[in-house]
Amino acid sequence: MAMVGFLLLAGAAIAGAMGVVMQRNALYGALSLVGVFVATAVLYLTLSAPFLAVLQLIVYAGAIMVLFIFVIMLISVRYEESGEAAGVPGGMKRYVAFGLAGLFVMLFVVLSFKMAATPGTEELGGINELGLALYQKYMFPFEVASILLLVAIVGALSITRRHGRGLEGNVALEERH
Amino acid sequence: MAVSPALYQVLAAVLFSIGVMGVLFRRNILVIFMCVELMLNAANLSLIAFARALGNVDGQVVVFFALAVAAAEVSVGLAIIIDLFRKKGTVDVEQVSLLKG
Amino acid sequence: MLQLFWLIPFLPLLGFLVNGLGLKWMPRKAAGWLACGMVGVAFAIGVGALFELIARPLADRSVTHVLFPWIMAGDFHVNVAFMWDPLSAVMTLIVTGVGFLIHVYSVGYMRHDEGYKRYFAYLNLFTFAMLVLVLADNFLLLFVGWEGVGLCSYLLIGFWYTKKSAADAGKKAFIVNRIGDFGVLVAMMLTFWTLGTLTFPEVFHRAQTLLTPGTAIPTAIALLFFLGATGKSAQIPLYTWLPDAMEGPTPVSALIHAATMVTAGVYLFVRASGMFVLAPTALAVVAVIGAVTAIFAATIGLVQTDIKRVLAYSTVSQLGYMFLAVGSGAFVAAIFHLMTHAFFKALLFLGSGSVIEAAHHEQDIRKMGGLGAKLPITKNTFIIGSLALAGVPIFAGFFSKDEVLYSAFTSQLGNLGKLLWVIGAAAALLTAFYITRLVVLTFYGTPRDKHLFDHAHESPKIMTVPLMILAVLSTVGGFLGLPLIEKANVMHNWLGPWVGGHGAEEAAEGAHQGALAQGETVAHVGVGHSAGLEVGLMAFSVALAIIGIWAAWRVYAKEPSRAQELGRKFSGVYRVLWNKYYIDEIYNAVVVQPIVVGSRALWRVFDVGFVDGAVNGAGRVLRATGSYLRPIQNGLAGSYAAAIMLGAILIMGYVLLGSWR
Repeated sequence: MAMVGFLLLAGAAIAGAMGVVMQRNALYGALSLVGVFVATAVLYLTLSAPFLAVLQLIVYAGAIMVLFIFVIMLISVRYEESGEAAGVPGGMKRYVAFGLAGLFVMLFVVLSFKMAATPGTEELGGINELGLALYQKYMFPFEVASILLLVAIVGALSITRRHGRGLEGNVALEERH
Repeated sequence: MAVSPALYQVLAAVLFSIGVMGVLFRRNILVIFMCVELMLNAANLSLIAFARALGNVDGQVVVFFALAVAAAEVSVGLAIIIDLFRKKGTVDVEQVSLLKG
Repeated sequence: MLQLFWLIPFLPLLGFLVNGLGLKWMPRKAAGWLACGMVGVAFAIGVGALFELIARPLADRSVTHVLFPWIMAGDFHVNVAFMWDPLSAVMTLIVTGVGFLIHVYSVGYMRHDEGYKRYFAYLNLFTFAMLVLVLADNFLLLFVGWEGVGLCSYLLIGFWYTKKSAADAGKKAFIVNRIGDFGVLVAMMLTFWTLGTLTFPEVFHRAQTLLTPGTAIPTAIALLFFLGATGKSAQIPLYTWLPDAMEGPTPVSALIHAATMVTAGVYLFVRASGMFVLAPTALAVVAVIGAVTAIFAATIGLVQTDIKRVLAYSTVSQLGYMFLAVGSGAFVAAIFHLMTHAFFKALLFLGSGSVIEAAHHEQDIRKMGGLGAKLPITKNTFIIGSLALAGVPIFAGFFSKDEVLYSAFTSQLGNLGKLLWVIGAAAALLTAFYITRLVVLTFYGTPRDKHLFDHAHESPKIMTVPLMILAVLSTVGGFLGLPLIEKANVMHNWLGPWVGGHGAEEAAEGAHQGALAQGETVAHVGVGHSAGLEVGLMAFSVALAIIGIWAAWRVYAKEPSRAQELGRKFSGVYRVLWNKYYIDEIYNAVVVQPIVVGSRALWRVFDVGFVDGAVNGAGRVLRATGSYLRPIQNGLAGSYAAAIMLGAILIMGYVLLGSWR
């Protein structure tokens, strides 16, 4: 039973991933990525990580992808990739990529099977345990992470700031064209 | 029957590889970026699976932080992309070889 | 005073340091007087030490003062140490005494020169080096002094370094000397190799026991040292630098190239005579070369027209006499002639300096004439010097030159010695001739250049007083070596026991016995050789001198046109002589040019080809590699990502392989 669920979810994830990579339209690709995230979140649930599953949905699917879609809309909605279609790459890169991918999978497979002995022993403590670990053992990285987020905000603002004065600098892109 | 942890690793590997292919083959920088996120996600999956298999919550903590970092990274990365678009008028990576030489 | 003798070299060294380091702030006058003072005090100490040495008994007349141990490497021990014995005392007094007079003269001669202070610094440095040379108690320290005087010779010959001919002459002197120095070095190494020491007393002691007379090794050592002596003392084949050295200031020519440095070769031979008597073949070679050089240089001097060149060739010639004496085993005679020559040759050079200054730095005697009227003191002292050089009794040169010739005649060289006597006598005839020619053309007759004559004037006292002092010495100096009367021959009694292989112990046996033993052969006059022969030979050489003087007087004073006639009649010979037998040109073609050509070829192959090629090649390789690797950085992020992936795969594969085992 669990296997069936797993296979379904895995299939969904893979399908979504293929969609990201092969869609011509970037917007469709973004939506596929959302699908991947949802599938992954459910997988987290099966792996006794409910908190993270929810977090995945909120942060990844809810915030990051929204951001992505904003930018896609701003920039490349009108832009269709010319030349080579995504699924049919040319030249040397094709072999490199397929080789790399295949190799990677193989390696990981082998490694995993070597390592994996038994399925999960006991249930993990859930959010309780996670919270305790975060605020006790990993206190310092926790604080650093918050500073990191602050830095990211400031960085993003300063990179995209137009060098005019005040808020006028951040007028919508449409005007420039 | 329960799912062997190995399978989760395999899934993560497959997702990762698909992401790699996207990074290598697509020319639209936004799509490339999304594939990078895909790769990150695959890694997270792998970590959680290991956390479960080893009974250790540390894996989940790492994923927690990875999530935070990914968020920060995306925001800054997109800012850069926007800036690039303003300067170059294109998001095609083949046309942006400023670092050449 | 005797205990302080080791200070003697350091006084001029101090003068050099003060003048040299203080070139900027030292007052001009002070520099000159400081230099003179240092040499003067050194002379005074020398005199004091000499008297104390005289007061000592015969066996006790060698004092060594060790300054510090220098090289201690395994069996090789060499100290920096000075030795005061009769020979070094005589040399020291010559160097400091004549040197002092020349320093004083220079204060006058160089008074208008820009490089006045530098001059005195160099002059003092030279004096220091020369004193180290004569006071050293071992070959190695002597060689240090040897090189030092060579350096100073270069510095002083090329004193007016902006003049190309002067700079070239300095280089020539140094390089030609270097060839000789090679001989000295190899000789020293051989000495050490066979005898295990370089310190004089030990060397001579061991030589008696370890070396077989007449075999290859002592002969080789002697000949190699002689090579060095031909360089330093301007004998055939390495004399060519000395005439060119006249580019330097005249007092320099007087000091270095007449009285002191060029005598270093003679001194070396006399000092090491204990070893050289074991190589009679080598000594024969020395004598032959000495005699041949004497006459060879005399012929060249006959026709030279530069006043200093005549004197330069005269010096080469007289040095030949000294080596003739050495080769004949008459070591004391060699030193005696060295001393008298220092007096009268310095006098002649300084006199010529006076003439040159009066003639506003004109040196060509063809432009002179009649200067005697304007320069009386110079003329008179110069004549005294000439008489001494020509070997007229009672002047100094007579006694010493005569002794040399007599020694050659009666030496153990047998018939060769008699032949060499003939050559020496012929050279003496020529000597009298050329020096009289010089005197006549310069001081007598009608002036050939009116302008020059009108502006000529006698030199100031500071220059004429040294001339007068040297004239006195040239007159009475000979009496130190009176022939025939054994007791009265100061030089022999003083030096005899100390040369030709004797040390203190043998000296204690008494001069007689010591002299009759293996070393000292003939020079001990009055013993075992007929007095009649000696008087006869003396009379003959006086006759030769008078003939030479008379002939030159006839040609140049009485009938000046005769000279031109003779010149035209023997024009071929004249040209060869005037061009110094083309020796310089021959050396240039045979030695210098091949070296230059070879050097250029080597330069092209090795320096430009290999070295530059390697360095440039390295650069080129790097650039090529760079241009191959540069396309990797194409600026496209995609390819960078691919590279990262590839790396990640490789690492993973490595880990996997590791864990598989």
